[in-house]
Amino acid sequence: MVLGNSAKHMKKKILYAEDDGDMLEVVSEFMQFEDYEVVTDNGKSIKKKLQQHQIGLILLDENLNWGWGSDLCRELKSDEKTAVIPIVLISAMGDIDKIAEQCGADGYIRKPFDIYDVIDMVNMHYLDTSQL
Amino acid sequence: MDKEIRRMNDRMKVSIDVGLAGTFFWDIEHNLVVTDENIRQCFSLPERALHDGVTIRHVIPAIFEEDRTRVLHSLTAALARASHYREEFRICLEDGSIHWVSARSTVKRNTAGKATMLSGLIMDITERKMVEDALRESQAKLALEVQTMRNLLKFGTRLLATSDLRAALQEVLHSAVQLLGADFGSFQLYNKDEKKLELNVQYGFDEEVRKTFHSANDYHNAVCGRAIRTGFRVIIEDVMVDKLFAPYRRSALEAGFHAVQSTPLYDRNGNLLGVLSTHFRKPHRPSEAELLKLDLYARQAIDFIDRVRTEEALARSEEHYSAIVNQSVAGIVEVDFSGGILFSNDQFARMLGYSPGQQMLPLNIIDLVHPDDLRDNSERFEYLASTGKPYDIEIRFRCKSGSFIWVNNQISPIFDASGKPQSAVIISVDITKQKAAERLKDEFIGVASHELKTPLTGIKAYAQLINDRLGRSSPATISKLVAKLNNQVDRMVNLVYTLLDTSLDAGGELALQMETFNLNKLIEERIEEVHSSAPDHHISFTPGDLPDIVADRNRMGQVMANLLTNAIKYSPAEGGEIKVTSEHAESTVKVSIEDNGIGISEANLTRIFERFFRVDSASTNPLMGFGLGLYIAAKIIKRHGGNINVQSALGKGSIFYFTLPC
Repeated sequence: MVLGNSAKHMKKKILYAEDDGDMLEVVSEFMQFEDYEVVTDNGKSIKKKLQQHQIGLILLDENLNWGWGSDLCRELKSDEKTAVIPIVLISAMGDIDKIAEQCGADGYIRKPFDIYDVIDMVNMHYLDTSQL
Repeated sequence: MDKEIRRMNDRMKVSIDVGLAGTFFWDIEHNLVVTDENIRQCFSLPERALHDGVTIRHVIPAIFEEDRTRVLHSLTAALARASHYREEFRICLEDGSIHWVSARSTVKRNTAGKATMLSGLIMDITERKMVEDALRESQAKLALEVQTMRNLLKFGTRLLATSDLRAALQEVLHSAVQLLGADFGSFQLYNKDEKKLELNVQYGFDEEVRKTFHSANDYHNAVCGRAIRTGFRVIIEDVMVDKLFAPYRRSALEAGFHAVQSTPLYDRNGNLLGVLSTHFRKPHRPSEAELLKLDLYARQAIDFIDRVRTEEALARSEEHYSAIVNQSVAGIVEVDFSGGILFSNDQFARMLGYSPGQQMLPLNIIDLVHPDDLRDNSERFEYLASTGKPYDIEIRFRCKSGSFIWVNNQISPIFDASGKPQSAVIISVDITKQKAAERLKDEFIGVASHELKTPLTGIKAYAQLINDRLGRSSPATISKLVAKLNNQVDRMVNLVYTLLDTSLDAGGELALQMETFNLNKLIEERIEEVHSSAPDHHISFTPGDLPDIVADRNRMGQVMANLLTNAIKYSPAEGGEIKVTSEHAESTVKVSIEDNGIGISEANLTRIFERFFRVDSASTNPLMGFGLGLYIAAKIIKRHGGNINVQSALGKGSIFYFTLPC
């Protein structure tokens, strides 16, 4: 256990909730190069994954097969255990900005996206909870 | 006594000797009549009547035979009780002429009351009588004329009240026959389509004759034929004499007439309407007066026929027009400018679920408009009311049941005589189906554009990544990235094909690229792919012993992917079991995908393979899928000559299975 140093060298983990395999793959791909580890989930087991990993940010797809990402966001934000974790909604929908605002998300990304915009967004909101 | 009489006579003679009158004196007791010269001559009495006198017997013969009885009667009666005797009678003069005379006399009686003397004046009143007679005759004539006119008027009024052509013609004929004192009559109407006369009504003829008339085609020179040809009334006084009538002589005699007149009748425009004929048993020529009256009746008949025909034509045209309006597949409504319905055809009522007929009239069309469409519709309507400009609009109407339908309304004004809009006609067509299709299409486009953004994102991301990594990562890594980029492109292509359904061959059928391959291997590949994005679902595969099949591998992959995705989509994450099996049976291979998900209701089962059909469920994201997956899967299977089906019940999971020939 190394304080500070080890903390600096511990890879940052983000959770990507998306049920499209190709999307999970490509985001993992480029986030890797930015030293982010991407924990993937189809959206049905987010809480479990949050318990299993030290997650600093959740990338959440709005249009999941079985429900809305924004509903999940509301749920997480209203639970004090998970409320602090920043959530960024991803969607191709035109009014994603309003949706993100209404559900309490910390940010949103429109599809199709620029990978650098995603990286910037993650960098901006990432919360290192290891110190907490 | 004699002297006295003579004296009286002389006195009277002086004052009355004008040749028009004379005196007489009758001594009843001695039965001696003494007259003056006038009377003597008138009554053809012998000379001695002037002084000696003659008996009454001598006087009587001069009295006209017909009047004698009357004269004697009244004379006897007067002598019995009266004080005066007055009588008018005719006398025959020597030259054979008949004169009317008037006798005025007094009766003298004795103390016993017995008549002893009769004396008086006899005046020639022939002229007066003639005048009286003439007057009476002309009065009678006048009365007859008046009666005829009254009858004609009554007749005309009766005709006005009826539309029964046959009955009316019967009356006309009857009147005509009576008027002319004929024995038979016939009224033939002219059929202008077939250009011949048809017997409509007849009077007096027996059955046999009627039949002959009916079937007569060649009547060219018969009376009616001549009447039509010449355009004038034809009168045949004697059938035996008229040369042109010769060929018909026998039929005429058999029918029982010797004379006939035929009057052709023309309407106001000069078109032939028919022929009115009257027949006489004996040779006869109707008088001018009679024919004139006949013409009056005929005129009535003409007007009547005209009117009936016009009414019939109008009724037919109305029926025709009404049929067009009512059979129309469009709803047709006429409204006033406050929206009150003035007229609506059957289709309009039907469209809105009302029974055709009066139910629509009390309604105001404004009440039928959907509240959201009210303002826009009212604006346009008012604009039309003031400017007369027609317009069309799509709005919703409320049906009797309370539900709404979409309609396309074309509204145009009807102008009054001064050119101002007085009402509006609406042609309304139900476009609910089209609207639904439009909505589906819009939804489809919405979903499609959304779905396409995912592979696009992948493509862009990989492209950016490759660009970023060129020179920094190893060629092997770059290759891998390029491969993944290609995958995304393929995915996009598939998606586009799915959307556009454009891979059709020349015959418009789904194009297949056939190859021989192992189906089990394909199934395995697909399961693996699907599993990677749904790791929590448990998918098992029990492959049967399948021969290689000949099919479009890509398309079959599409089918498997779709069925598997559905299975995952509609089944729970926790405890979701998907069982895939394949088996070989004779000349087919069968693949089944069973899930323990939410299942499909009976109502939806029949529609599940329909284009654009999606099960709307609260628990599923309504944006997912186009409703094309199963539709296209079914199309692909069918194109291969196979079958696809599903077994399912709500809450009990589903088994989708398909067969392919091999």
